[in-house]
Amino acid sequence: MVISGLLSVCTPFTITLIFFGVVLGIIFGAIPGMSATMAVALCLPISFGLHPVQGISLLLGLYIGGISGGLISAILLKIPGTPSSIATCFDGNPMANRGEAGKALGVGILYSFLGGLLSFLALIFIAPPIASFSLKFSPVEYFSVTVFSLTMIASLSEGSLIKGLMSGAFGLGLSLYGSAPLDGYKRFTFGLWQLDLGFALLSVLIGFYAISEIIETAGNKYKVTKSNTIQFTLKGFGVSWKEFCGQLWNFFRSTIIGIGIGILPGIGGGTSNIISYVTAKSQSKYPEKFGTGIIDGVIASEAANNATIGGALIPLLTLGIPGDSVTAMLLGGLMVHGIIPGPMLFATNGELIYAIFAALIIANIIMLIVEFFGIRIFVRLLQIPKSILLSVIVCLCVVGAFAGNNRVFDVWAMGIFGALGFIMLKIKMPLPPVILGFILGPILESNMRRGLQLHHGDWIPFFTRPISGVFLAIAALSIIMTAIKEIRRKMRIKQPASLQG
Amino acid sequence: MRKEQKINIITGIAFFAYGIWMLARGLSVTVQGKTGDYGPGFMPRFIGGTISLLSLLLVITTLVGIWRGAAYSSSSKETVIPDYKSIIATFILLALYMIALSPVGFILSSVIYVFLQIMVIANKPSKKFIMMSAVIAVVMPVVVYYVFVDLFFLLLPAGILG
Repeated sequence: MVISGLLSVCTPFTITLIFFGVVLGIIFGAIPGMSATMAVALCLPISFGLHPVQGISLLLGLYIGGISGGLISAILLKIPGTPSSIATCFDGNPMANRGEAGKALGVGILYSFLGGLLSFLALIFIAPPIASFSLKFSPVEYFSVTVFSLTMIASLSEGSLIKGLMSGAFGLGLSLYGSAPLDGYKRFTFGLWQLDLGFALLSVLIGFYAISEIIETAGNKYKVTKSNTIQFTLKGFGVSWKEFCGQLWNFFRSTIIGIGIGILPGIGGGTSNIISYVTAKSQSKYPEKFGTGIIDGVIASEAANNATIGGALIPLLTLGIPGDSVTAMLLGGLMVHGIIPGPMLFATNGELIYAIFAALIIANIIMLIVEFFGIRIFVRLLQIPKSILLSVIVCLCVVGAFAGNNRVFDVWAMGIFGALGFIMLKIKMPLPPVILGFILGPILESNMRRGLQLHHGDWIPFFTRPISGVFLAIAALSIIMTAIKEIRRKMRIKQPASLQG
Repeated sequence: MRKEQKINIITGIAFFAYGIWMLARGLSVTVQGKTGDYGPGFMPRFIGGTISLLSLLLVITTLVGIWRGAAYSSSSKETVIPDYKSIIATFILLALYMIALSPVGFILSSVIYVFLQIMVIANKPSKKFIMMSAVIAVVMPVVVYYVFVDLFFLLLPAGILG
């Protein structure tokens, strides 16, 4: 099974697809405003026509490239290409300004690779035992895990907690259109047969993530200025053997933080790099040097954000629960191929699991090579006007929405969701909870109803079964903690206001 | 009242109405599930109710904030006024593109859309830029069409060119 999994990835065509995915992912990651999520959403239609292993390999390449690409603009432009590289700016850009851009990039690329590699090893060793453990899960446990994921997402949404929860509930509401699980009862179809199976996943994903971005860019066109990149020379990875040994603990700690945060649903690379950076700073012998341009900061951020990838894939593959918007897209990609992630996948389709592991490692190696040798090309790509890039992307969005079911209805739905996404951005309603609510909605409903059928309408087992109870308790705790944090934040804002008054 | 507070109240009212609508639709489902199952009407009722409650909470907390005269937190102050003309033009272009897709076909509608969209987003385009955009607008849709249709075997609307 292991060998056949590996062999299915090690074909010239699949490796070419991974290469294409990594390159495109790096481009999307490097250009601010375009994300790994968008890259995966746009390439979902390409994966339709491919064999599942090939399609998934392409998407994984995009994921790894998308997360790693952010360091280029973070270091050279002081603009993080993705939220995963926010902390890379703190020390990476001062290094670049001091004439050490090559060293900062080299270190960033090397530790992205190492962080990713270690997290994939963790995935390979941790995922199978979790999967075999979760084989014991009944619909009751699945329901509780889903509730847990949803509360984590809503509570971690930026800005207002209420708005985050509203977004999540809105996404769950969108998933109710079409046939209900178990009995196929048609809800909210308005007599339209196109809605019998609900909104197409791709219309929702692409609409909210790509079309809304185009409209947003159109509104900010005067902000779109040509960026001045810093000149650099890249020789080796910019790190001496002595420095490498000195940074070993920083690297391990950052990677563990990245994997841990990746495993928790709702927190992705956007958070892990900052937590890792702050931890590295607080535990350093020279915290005052952080922010002035030292490699410790770049390593902490880049090792952690790439390590989050392996971590986030653990709940996705073992429980079918996406941790953030990119893994939600990947879940969509697997579903498109009729693959439902979860413990059964390990039991019935082990070959695919090993193929995924192999594809991750290959994509990581390709990322290292491509970023190291192709960095100048990516820097040049940063100069392409966004007006051209985004307009061409709309074309691809249309292909993506249309190709799923070969109907224009899905394209219109995508347009409507794009407009809705834009309005939500303007009223500061976070979009990730909508996507996760939409994807988790059917899982939540079907498991709740199955669980209730199993226990004759009794809710008590949902709280008394140990695993289910623990997850529900953590879910409640996370909501309470976030609510307390929110109240404290508002009190802090109020205090200075009252002092002024 | 600050702008963000106004937005919160309007958002709250709109979501409240949506939540109530969903709740009402859920209540109109009379189909019962099997033993113990709450049936297909439960989730719409629950989600509709949750949306209404949360939006009510948003309106109430905002009103309390206004009443207490609290400084409302605004993490990112928008200093640049959005270009509404471009936003409206983009909306119209997107709508026309999607309507034209089926009768006109993917290639032709995409060529026109991409060129006009670049012009809308571009800030004071030069002649050279316009020429380059025109070339991209023609080449990209054609390449995309043939790559997806011939290489990945997907269907795309051929329209009048088909």
